[in-house]
Amino acid sequence: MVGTELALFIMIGALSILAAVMMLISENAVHSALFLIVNFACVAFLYLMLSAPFLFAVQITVYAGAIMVLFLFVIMLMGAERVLPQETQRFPWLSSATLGITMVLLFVAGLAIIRSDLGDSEPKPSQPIFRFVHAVAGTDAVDVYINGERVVSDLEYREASDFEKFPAGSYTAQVIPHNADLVPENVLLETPVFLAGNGVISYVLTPDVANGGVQALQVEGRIDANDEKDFARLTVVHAIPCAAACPIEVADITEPSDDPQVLVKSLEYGQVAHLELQEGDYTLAAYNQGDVRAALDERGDTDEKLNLNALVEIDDKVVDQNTGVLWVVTQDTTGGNVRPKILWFALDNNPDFGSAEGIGQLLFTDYLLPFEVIGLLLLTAMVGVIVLTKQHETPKKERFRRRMANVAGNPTVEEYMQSMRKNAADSSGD
Amino acid sequence: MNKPEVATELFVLLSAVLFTLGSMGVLLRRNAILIFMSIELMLNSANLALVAFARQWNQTDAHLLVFFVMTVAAAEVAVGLALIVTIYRTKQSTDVDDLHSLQG
Repeated sequence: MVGTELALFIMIGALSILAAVMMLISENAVHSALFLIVNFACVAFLYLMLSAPFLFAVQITVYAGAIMVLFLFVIMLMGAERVLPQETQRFPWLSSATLGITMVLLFVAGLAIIRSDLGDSEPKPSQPIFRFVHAVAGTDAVDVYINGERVVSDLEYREASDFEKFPAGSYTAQVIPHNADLVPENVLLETPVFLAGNGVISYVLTPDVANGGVQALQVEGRIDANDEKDFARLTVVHAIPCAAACPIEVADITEPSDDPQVLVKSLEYGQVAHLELQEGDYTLAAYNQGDVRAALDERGDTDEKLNLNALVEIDDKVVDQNTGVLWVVTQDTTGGNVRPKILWFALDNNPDFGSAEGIGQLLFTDYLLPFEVIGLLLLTAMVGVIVLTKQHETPKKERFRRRMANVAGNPTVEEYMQSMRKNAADSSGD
Repeated sequence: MNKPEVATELFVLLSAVLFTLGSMGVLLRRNAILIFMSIELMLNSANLALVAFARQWNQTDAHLLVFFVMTVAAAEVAVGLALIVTIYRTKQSTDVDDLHSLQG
């Protein structure tokens, strides 16, 4: 059974190869250019399949648009659309040699690609990445400084910052209210941060019940793909502050008719639980520990409805294969009443992969210098084109001399030479 | 990231086929404009392989590289076509076999 995407790939790929072959064998250069446009459009579509929408747009506008218009323009300008049949090949052996070499090249490349183990490798972040999650109810936005440098700005309650990439090592993180000065009396929390390998770390800021203030829970989440199992990773963090012990349990209540499936038995405040779920739609709920057991016991063997009130539930969240999800059980204080609330963050390490936003961000941070160089190159090319295609005019002096030579009355070269010879004969006769 | 339905190998294989076709065009056709188009085809197939590997390794940087390649290709097309136009003015032909003045 061939999936839709694969069928589409086969069709588009075949069309692109067909267009390339037609481009090669067309007798008319205009037809060749048009077939090349078809090929470019196919490649643009493949970019879309490879989740590169920005490149899709650039391919259509720049390649299939601007560059091909330039080609067609030059072909029509020179009237060179008809490619003359090649009467004499300068190198008769070239065709057969080319065919042989390209066949060998294709065979080697195909063999290398087929025998490669690309499918077994996993995409990994090359540097450790981390982010901060603000889960301290009832406080204002904060800034986070790493070694005195502001990396997170204006992080509101219930928000997660973008992932930051830092070289492995140990750092000091300081959390202060938004726009406050970085002075010791403003610092809400100062905590060491250890980054190692290709870790993916979320620092969840929660209220510190014992000492007051804020504490940071270090939550490690794996986000690398795991092809062998259709599992998604769910990380649950208990962040509802309570003075005494208040463990919660997490249950799967996707099927209302079934009994809740307890996934996490006991989770104390500040603790982290890692779950692996089969991909699919889920409704998950958090309860005070023991509530599910008590409700089941109370109901007994009857068919009555379970008398169970969840602290909080989150429904119809699609848990995709190979995604990681961070679930912070915290308090919502909006509107005056305090009730539990779940913050749901996907642990996708590269949320804007291929998007115009992601590319723009890279372009103006890591690749600003190459961008400038490319701009300069375009400028140079523009000047070069003007210099190359400039008609070489004959110099002014030369034109003037020619015009003067044609004016009646002026001696032609022959007359001049004759007068010279005459002068020479006269002088020798003296 | 979900496991892609179309494997990276297939994209790279398609890119290899297109590259081979492009190189055949460069070697077999004698019209300068067609040779130029074949070079564009080869550049495009290389771009396709880059984008496929970008998805494989989940790196946006490769997309940026493709963007740069496209920009350089645009510059190259402009200069190359200008050269062809200049040559056509003097030789009245775009056949590369006519251009052998540097041959000893």
